[in-house]
Amino acid sequence: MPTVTAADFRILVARALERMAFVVAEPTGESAGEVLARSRHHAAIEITGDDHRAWLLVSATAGFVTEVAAGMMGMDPDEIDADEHGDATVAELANVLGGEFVMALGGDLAPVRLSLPQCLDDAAVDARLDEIADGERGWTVVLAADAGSLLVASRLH
Amino acid sequence: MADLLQGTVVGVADMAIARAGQGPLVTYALGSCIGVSAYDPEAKVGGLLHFMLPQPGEQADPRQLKPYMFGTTGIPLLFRKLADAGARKERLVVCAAGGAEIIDDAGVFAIGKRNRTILRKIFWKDGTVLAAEDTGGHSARTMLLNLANGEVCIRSRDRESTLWEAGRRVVTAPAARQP
Amino acid sequence: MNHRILIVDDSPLLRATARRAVLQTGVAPADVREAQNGKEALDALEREAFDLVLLDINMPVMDGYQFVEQKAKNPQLAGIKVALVTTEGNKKRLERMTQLGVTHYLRKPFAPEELRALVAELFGARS
Repeated sequence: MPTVTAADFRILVARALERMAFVVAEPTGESAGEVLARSRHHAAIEITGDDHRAWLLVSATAGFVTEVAAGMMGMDPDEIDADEHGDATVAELANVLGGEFVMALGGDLAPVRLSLPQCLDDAAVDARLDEIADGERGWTVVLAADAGSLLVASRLH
Repeated sequence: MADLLQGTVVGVADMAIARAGQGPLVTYALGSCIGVSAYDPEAKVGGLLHFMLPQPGEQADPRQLKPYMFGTTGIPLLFRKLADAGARKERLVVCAAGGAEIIDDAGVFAIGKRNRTILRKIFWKDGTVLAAEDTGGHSARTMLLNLANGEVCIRSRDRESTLWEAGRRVVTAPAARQP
Repeated sequence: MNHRILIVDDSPLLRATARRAVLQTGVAPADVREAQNGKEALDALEREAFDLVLLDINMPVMDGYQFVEQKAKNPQLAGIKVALVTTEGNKKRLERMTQLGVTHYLRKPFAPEELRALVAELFGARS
């Protein structure tokens, strides 16, 4: 199974955002905790292979969700209601980023499957992030775009 | 490249409109900047924009800013001025060049990438289909629009190429991929 | 003759994006339908005529694989083109889709203008 470095993970997320939603998002030094304190929409996806399991989690602020949804739908951000589109946006981000992560792990050849994305509440997100300890097979990236911030985390079992 | 004896040079953060018979429009030093050409083959009128940055900052005073400096303000203005000159949006052949990754004086990368992203975003929002583009890479480009026939030429690293020639059908997709 | 397109995806955001791409190729709004899963999609194909299905794989109730397998069993639906728009990248599974008649494929994350271009090419349109 190919190795995925922290930089690979960050690039994978940034490229997907730019390609699908025209969002330019870069690391700013914000911590996962700082984003979580402000983010309102969360979703996770399960990744299952013959020998491995993983999950990938997405947590976004209202501004970030608005920017992604507006970009994809070709609308202005002030035409977007974050409450209306928030869950669908993080769910689709979890789906797409999960797919990219699977490909980075060699999923073009291996029989790896994605679950359906599930929206999560704050407590469920905290529980997942507690699973990623230093030195574990985990990835965390925090990115900021013009209008908001995004946390993407993944753990390989 | 066509002789520039009668042509017009479009500078950085600028735009010009011209008609057949008025000579070509050309812009130089498209590094991270992007050149956008638009030509109506029936009205034989076209324009060339050279923008530097994706969008104005949030604090920018709308009365002070140079609209052709930015993609978000320059591109709609290019199309509006062309419409005023008799062009029809649905007939326009639109090309783009530039957006290279060039280290600027401050050592900052990625303006080229940001400009390419804003170009994609604007054209997705307004439904413009790019007929052809020559963007990215690391080298500066020169872009020339021939108003007699809409031909677009690019020069980069001492090589010239034709980005668009008259009579070519607008190709809307690369060959669709098989699964 | 109008081109009729069915967009199949459980994500309302993706359906809205795909709808925009399709409409920008000149297809009339009345000629675009949406379904949230494979079962709804099969029902739609029974009710109305379509030329093209834009199909996600990962959906509840009935996924894209099951839809393609069911569609392949019905000769009356053979003329309807299927283009996958999916995160799926596994070569074996995609090969199976090709064997069942899927002819085009766009992997997520896709550039929205690429989806527009794919639809335009399928119908030989000038966008």
